[in-house]
Amino acid sequence: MSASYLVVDESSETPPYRQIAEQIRAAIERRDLMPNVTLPTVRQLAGDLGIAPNTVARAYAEMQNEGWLVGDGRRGTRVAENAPLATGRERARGLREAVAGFVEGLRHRGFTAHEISRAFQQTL
Amino acid sequence: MTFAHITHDQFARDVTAIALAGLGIFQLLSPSCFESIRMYFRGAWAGLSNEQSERLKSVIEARTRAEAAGGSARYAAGLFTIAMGLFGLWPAIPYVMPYAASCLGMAYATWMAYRQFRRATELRFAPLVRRTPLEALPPVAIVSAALCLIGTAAFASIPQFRIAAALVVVSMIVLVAIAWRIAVAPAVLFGADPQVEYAVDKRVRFCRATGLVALACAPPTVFALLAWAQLPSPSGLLWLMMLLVIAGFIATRVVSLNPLREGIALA
Repeated sequence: MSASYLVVDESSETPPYRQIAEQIRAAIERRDLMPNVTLPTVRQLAGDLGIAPNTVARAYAEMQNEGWLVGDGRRGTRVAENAPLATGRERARGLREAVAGFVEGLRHRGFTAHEISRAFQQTL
Repeated sequence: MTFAHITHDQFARDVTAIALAGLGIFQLLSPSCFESIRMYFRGAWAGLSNEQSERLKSVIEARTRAEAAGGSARYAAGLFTIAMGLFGLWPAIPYVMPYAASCLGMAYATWMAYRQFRRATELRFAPLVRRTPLEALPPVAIVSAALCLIGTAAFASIPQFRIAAALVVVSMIVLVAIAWRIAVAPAVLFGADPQVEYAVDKRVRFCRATGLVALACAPPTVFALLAWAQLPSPSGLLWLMMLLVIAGFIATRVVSLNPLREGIALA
């Protein structure tokens, strides 16, 4: 799927506003959304996703507070020039932590290190 | 057999009734004739690879299936058009009124198809791209429609055309309002191939919105031409107004048909 699209899964345990914020954050980190790019209006995004405008507004507000986005009055919401992007080291640490957690879950389900390693290699 | 006893008004009334009845029957036999999205992509295939063509074809088919569920509105529009044809035979009403009403019926069917389509999926994908209504309804279409409206309103200064001109203007405003609703309506992407779905949505939105504006300008054009033909000595200003109406209709039609020949850019 292209990174320039959002989706909200109503059945997920993660609240919709957080799903939106996480996907926009990921798009900024991947540089699919460049600094100063104007995001869709709250109304447009809410309409496209079929959710309440307040949910989108909350996601935007949270991201503005964290410095990812800036509100620009009538011109809308833009990606911040100095968005708090993770450094290479932080990204690598995040990846290691995510993989470690995933592998730990697989070990709890009884898979051996060799099986997990082989599955990873086949998938990649 | 002679038709010498048939007046100009009676002739126009009969032609309008026959045309509307024929149009209504055509709508019943081919309910998607005016809303099918396949015709918007006639020129889209040039320059696409086999894989891209398959993706585009698949998205168009999926969307056509999703919109087909709104078919009852299209049948209703067909029946309504036939009824308007019969209604037009009643001498007490201006004969352009049933034509304007049938255009409203077609616009209603288009809008219902759009609404049906919006309800077709639970999981929606949204493009992270800001849209403006002017992308679907360019200023040239709006200005042309406004000229058409002004030209039609000028005919209201003649007492015998006052009611008909008012009805045509009202139908035009309603049609343009529906076109605007389509221009600002949400993009509906299922997520199977969001990039192609978004490209399809953009073109469908443009063609439908501009097509409805062109449809909105059709009754004023028919009205202006028929009214003009009935005036014994029309003024120069009225001549100018009729030209405005015709020019507005032609301009909106050109704008609405323009993208049909264009290719579509897919990565």
